[in-house]
Amino acid sequence: MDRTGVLSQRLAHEKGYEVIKPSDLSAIQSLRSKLVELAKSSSIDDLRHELTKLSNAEINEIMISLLQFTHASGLLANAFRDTIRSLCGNEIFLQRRANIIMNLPGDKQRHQWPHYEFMSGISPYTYTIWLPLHDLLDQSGIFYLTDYESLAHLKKEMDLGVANGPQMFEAVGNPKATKLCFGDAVIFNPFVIHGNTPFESGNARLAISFRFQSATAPLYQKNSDFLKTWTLEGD
Amino acid sequence: MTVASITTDIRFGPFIVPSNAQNMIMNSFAQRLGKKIEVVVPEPILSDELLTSLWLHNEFNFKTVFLCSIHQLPQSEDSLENICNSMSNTEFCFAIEGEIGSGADYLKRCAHEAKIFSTVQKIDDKGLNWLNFYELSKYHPTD
Repeated sequence: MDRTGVLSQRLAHEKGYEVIKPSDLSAIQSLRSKLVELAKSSSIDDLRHELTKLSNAEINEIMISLLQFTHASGLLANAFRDTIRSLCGNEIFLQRRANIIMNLPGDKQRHQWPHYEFMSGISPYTYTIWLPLHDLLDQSGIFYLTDYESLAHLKKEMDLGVANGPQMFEAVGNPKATKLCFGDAVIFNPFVIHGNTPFESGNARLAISFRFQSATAPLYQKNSDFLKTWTLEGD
Repeated sequence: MTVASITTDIRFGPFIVPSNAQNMIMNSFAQRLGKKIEVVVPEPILSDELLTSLWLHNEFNFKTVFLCSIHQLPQSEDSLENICNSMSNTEFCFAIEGEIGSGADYLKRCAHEAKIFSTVQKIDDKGLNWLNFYELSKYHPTD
């Protein structure tokens, strides 16, 4: 494990997030096909369009049905195995169920409000990889603040004695989403503030994310409810 | 051939789950899997041997049993072996982890994973604030 490597340094001591490529793009393509199949659609674009016609409750039902896709996080971990291995070694704690994220266009639709991952009780030694399931070349993607900017907001909230208060929403200002092609992913540390803003499009935005940490690093609040043990493929 | 849920001591692994909440969790998972729980087995507190379940299995021949977590499996190898031998054809569903399977290999794998989670180091957050956690994130504990 090369924790003094370039990526480790950038995540811990510089920007806090980086765009990365998978070791195995075909695994991501297979995962996407499986997801389309489980959602009973014919293609990712059809699924994205079909979702815009559904209510949030109906989308929630689809999300619950996708909970059966329990091996998604393992597929993803092996698809990004070189990156994960460089940060954590071969033995990791891996999120048991990858998050499948469906965001609808329009002002009044649910979206990911600004937050950082540590708020959920994951260990501070956890990394997150987030990837869209299609090209994201408009403003419907995720924005990220740098680690330095995020720390400033964290300190401000501590001074005010609040956590994830209205200041967090105001702090973000007018963020620019990171543009990504299918296959690109963003890896970020657990204190980088991120989220997305309402967007206009004829299609929903589909993405998937998963979290992991070294098996030698301590856990915090998340245990077997959220994580499973995992050994990465290959050397 | 019966579907059962098993409630145990409220403390198991890192969790503290009241009995009625254990029932809610198991019923919710059963519903998601399209199964209906017919028998509720109350295991005694301060024991993880699942002896009541074994005893009732002889009477009901459980097809499927629900537990909240892999942490409710017996910790002693003898007790686990007893479950593996006597309930080898019973499907075990662990609601919190979402794991479903049957047979000795599956149960031993689940018990092994529970042991890893039980023995791994945990962060003691006494006296720590958000900024302390941020600082912790910057250096891996083995660096």
